[in-house]
Amino acid sequence: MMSKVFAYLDHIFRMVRPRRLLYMAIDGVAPRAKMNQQRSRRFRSALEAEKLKAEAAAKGEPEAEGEPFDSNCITPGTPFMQRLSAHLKFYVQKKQTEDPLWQKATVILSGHEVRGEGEHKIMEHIRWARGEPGWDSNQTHCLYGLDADLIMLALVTHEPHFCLLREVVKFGAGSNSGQPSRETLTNPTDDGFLLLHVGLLREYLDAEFKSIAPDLPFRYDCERVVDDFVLLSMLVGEYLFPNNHIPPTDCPYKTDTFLFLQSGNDFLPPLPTLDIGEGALNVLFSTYRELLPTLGGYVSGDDGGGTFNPQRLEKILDVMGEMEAKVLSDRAGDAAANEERQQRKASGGRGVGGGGGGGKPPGSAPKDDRFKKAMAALANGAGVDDAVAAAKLKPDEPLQATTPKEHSDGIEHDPTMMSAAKREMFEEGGAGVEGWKEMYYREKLGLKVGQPPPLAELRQAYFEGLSWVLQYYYRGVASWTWFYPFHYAPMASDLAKGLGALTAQFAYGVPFRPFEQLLAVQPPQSAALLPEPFRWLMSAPHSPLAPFFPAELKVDFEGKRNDWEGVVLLPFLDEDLLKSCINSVPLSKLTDGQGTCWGFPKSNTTV
Amino acid sequence: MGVPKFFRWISERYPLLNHSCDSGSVPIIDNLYLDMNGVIHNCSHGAGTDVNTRMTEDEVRRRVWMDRGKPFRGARPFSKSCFLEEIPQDPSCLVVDRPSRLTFGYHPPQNHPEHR
Repeated sequence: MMSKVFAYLDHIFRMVRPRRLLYMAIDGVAPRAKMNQQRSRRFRSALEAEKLKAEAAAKGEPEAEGEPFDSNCITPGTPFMQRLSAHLKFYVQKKQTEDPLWQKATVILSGHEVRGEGEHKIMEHIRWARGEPGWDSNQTHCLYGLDADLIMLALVTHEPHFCLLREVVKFGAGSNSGQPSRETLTNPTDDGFLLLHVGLLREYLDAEFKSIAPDLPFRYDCERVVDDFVLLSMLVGEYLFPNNHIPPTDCPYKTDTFLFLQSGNDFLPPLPTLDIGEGALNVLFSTYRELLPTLGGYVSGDDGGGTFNPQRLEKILDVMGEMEAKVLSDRAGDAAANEERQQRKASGGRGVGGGGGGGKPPGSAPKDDRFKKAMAALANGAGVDDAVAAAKLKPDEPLQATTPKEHSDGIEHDPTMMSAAKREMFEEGGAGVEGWKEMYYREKLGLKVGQPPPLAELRQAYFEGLSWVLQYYYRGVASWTWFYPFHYAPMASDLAKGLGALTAQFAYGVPFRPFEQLLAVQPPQSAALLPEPFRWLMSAPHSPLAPFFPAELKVDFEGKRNDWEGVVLLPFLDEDLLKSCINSVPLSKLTDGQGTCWGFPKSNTTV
Repeated sequence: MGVPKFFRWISERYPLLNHSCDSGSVPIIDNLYLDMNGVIHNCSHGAGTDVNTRMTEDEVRRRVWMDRGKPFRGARPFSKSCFLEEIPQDPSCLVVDRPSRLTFGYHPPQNHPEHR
């Protein structure tokens, strides 16, 4: 794996040939706002690994010896990261001494021990470098990374010559199959690379919005439009099954009724009715275009980057809120049509293959699977009865398309947010958006019937979230400890009410130490990544942290296509409790190597 | 991570943004920033996805030096300590490298195919 890393770096370097600077940033300890997302991703990946293992055992494949590679070890503070850092340092020194290409550029390696996420450490460096005397404003920058929000970060720098480097992403056929941002690449260097010119994007935006300049009562400024673009894009999410509100059958988790959206940023959930797949971005920007002349100024704050003007945002959100009814009833219509289609398909395919599932061609995979399972069971020396049980086709098994409640794998799915009962609301005489909203809050926030949703808290938290994220993008971390304390966003119309009057204050706080972060984000299955004295905190039933490591996960799943995209509904960790638990372990119990990882983060290493 | 579809959306709305690097037409770049976690994630795919393959550290280390077993012709002395600490395994590297490690001072890189 390290050889892959090195070969990959070689490839990128030889392709780009930077003249002045190479900045390599490994993720360090992230702000608290990000940790909730990291935590849910890691819990999920642990679950997945278990599921894969069980599947392999069912197929009768022999288990390989040794420990499997746990992708959760790609977290600051683990022994793996320490080794990787050492290897990288060595690699850089080696290249610098023997490769003339490398001798031209300054190389900075910001390791996992330096606090902050990789891409934000890069931003921090650019901000710092720009403040230095002798900064050449015509420099060209290239940022390598896979995440979609790097586009935002590159825009935020306002540098005229900025491009993003990434692998070629093939878009699937059909309108609903956008590729995930982190797809599996078996041999990454074989695939082509793409450069995305952010400078050109700036010109596109300029060209697009310049036409409204004569209507504006204030001066047109391309840079402010770019800032507004970044701010508005943050509100939009991705609803991965826009037309199919039924979860896939092979989901390993106990599912719940929650609506899931992939957010426009990693720190806040997106607004529930703004889905990129339904054209929300287009709607949002045409709304912006129409409204801008009446707003009295740009949405991004007049006080400079990293602020926004809530009164003006409120006006835009008001309009988006008015569209909620249409978006929801469209969704209801889509879901109904889709169910009907699947029903037809399923009843047609049933005679051939014994009832598969919606997406698969009739009669292929499910039967084969069962046959394989049976053979595997036999090969493993199980009784014939077991094999028959594994292979048994249940003739009375309900089809997933018609009744999402019961699946062949025995996982129970509750009705989704667009189930038949809820669709009725959008028919004539139904409760409409108000009814749906009430249902949304009740189900998402676990309220009792008749209990009013905590709209004021939601609004305040979301407002703080927007301020925090903007500051994070433009100026750096506003608070290491702040986080959005809900799993879901308010509806656009509720967010808009009175948004203009809110203010946000942040306490800077202290970043987590690496082991604190490890404890805060790792699932119990990866406890081995922590130093031995801390492990019991995760697994022991008498641990004070036990309530935060539930045995059963709730995963929100509606609209989810890929396994890393669901939201695991974990309880939010209590930071003070966690820190006091960590501090209760005497430092003397740590070995030397662990001790070095214990302290507060160091500054960057310049090689 | 951001919205996966955002990249697609923006590429379709503004079609000239992307340009392929295969033609060798990479513009001159002053500063290159690498989000290393992207690299690591790419490279760890395949190590973790198949439950029945195991990549041990030793195997990895061996492959690093088999793949790229380029000897340390131009190594300056300061990298010696790293070299010895990190990679004690591969004897062929040690043998080839000995002359340059034993003398101090700068050794210009040899005329190596990689550098042309």
